[in-house]
Amino acid sequence: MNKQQITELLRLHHKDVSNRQLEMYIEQSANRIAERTGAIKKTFLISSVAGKRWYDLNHSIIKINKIYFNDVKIPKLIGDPVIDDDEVTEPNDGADTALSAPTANAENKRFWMISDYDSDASNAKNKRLGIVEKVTNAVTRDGRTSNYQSCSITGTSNIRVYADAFASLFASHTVGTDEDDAMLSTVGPLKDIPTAFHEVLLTGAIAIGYKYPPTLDFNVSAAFEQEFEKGIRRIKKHERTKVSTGFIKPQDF
Amino acid sequence: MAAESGSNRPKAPGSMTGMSPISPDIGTSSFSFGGKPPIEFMQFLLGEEIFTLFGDSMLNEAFESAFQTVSEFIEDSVILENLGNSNSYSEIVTATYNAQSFSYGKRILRVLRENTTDEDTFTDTQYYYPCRKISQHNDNAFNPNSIFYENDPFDPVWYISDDGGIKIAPKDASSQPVGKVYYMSFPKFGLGKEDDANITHNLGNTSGFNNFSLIGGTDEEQIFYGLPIEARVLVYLDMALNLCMGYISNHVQDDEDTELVTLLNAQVEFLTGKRQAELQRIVGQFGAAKNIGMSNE
Repeated sequence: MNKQQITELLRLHHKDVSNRQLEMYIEQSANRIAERTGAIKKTFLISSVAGKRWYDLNHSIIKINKIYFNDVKIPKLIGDPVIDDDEVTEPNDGADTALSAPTANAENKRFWMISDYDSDASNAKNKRLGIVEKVTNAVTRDGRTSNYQSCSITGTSNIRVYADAFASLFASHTVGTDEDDAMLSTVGPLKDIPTAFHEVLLTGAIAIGYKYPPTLDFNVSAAFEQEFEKGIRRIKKHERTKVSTGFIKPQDF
Repeated sequence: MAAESGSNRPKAPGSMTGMSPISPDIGTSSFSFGGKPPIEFMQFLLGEEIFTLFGDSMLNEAFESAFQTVSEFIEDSVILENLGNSNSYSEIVTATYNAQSFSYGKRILRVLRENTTDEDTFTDTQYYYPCRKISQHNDNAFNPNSIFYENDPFDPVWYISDDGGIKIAPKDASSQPVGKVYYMSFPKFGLGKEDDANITHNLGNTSGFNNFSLIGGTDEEQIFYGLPIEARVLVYLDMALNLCMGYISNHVQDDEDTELVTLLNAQVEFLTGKRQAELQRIVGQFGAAKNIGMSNE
């Protein structure tokens, strides 16, 4: 389905709502599918900076599945290093002495970790990705020693994050400029949900629409919710089986 | 004008049976009430005694009112299908339908917005998309932060601006987009295209149709643009009823002419019954049922 088709089908049920509302219903439905099924998988690129430990993550990320640094898969660090690099709180804490710049080393034992703490002075709510390197006795402070220093390499788009994500939003163009959206099935949430499941996306959007005036009707909404749940199960099944053959056959070359 | 050929061509009735007793003339009415012009059919409906009570002014107003009443029961799409012979029922000049008071006295049937860019790589087609009507006064249709924001050229909207012009959204960048407005103005005797190019029924002095009584047997269509031919009888019945009721309330009670009151009441009773039956038929065939509470749509 392209945007126009799904919008027209939605309007058969919710004819008196604005087209921005219809877009929101589709976006909400797509996010529920993403959250429940993990059907939306994306990669995100981050550039590393020598001496920087924490990097903002795109807030559409639901769950990080794996991370590659310089094309090498790196493991997740369990627990926290005993000495943190306080740039995690933006704006930076300038009241104390910053950690000394990490020194590059040949071992390249890197780990990733997650922080979802924000400074109370920050306006944004972002999870952060931490990159640390394991170097024996790398950092000392207040009589403690940590084996983990911040990333020591500066690179361009060298951190690749593989993650389950929420759906893209429809572009919010200025007046009259989103002319070519409608024919495409690759705009906003439509590109994230496989075409075969656009029907489920529509069912969810219809259900959500019936929860708001002017088409408020909880009974009808519940009926469509049931259909939506069936669709969710179909997508989950698809996600489990799409890359699996069920058994592995040995092959000699 | 009636068609030269085809099923709508003017034709003389083949038999005198059933013709109005008012005049022996055989006319060429496309509707063929025994070939009579509308005024004579009205005479036939009311009877000679009653008919002579009314002048042009009353006849004109009764028809205009009846036309409006009947058209209310008929869907936009049916009205549109029956406007083909009128030269004034659509407007594509943006400045004209944007202009002050364009919507006044008109029934807006359909508004389309042409997409600004080509959508078809083979023929470079710029499709027209039908617009929904919104009110510009009670929402935030043009506020990008609002859930009521309307900015989808594939689901465009139209509204009547403060000055009575018709506007289409979303704009084409900062300008009003190319659009097409289908409308029907209601017939008004004495007003023609010399007064306003967007008048659907050309009933001004220039056309010679500036009174109901001047409409000839072959010109009947001029006053019925927009209505299906099946609805014309209902308009005449409603018109006759308007005349009788109007006369009763305005004159007869003062005159205490009990004989005439009795005559008119009998006529009203007859016309009411006929009108009711005809109305049910028209509503069933062409009706916008929601307008008269016959459906919960």
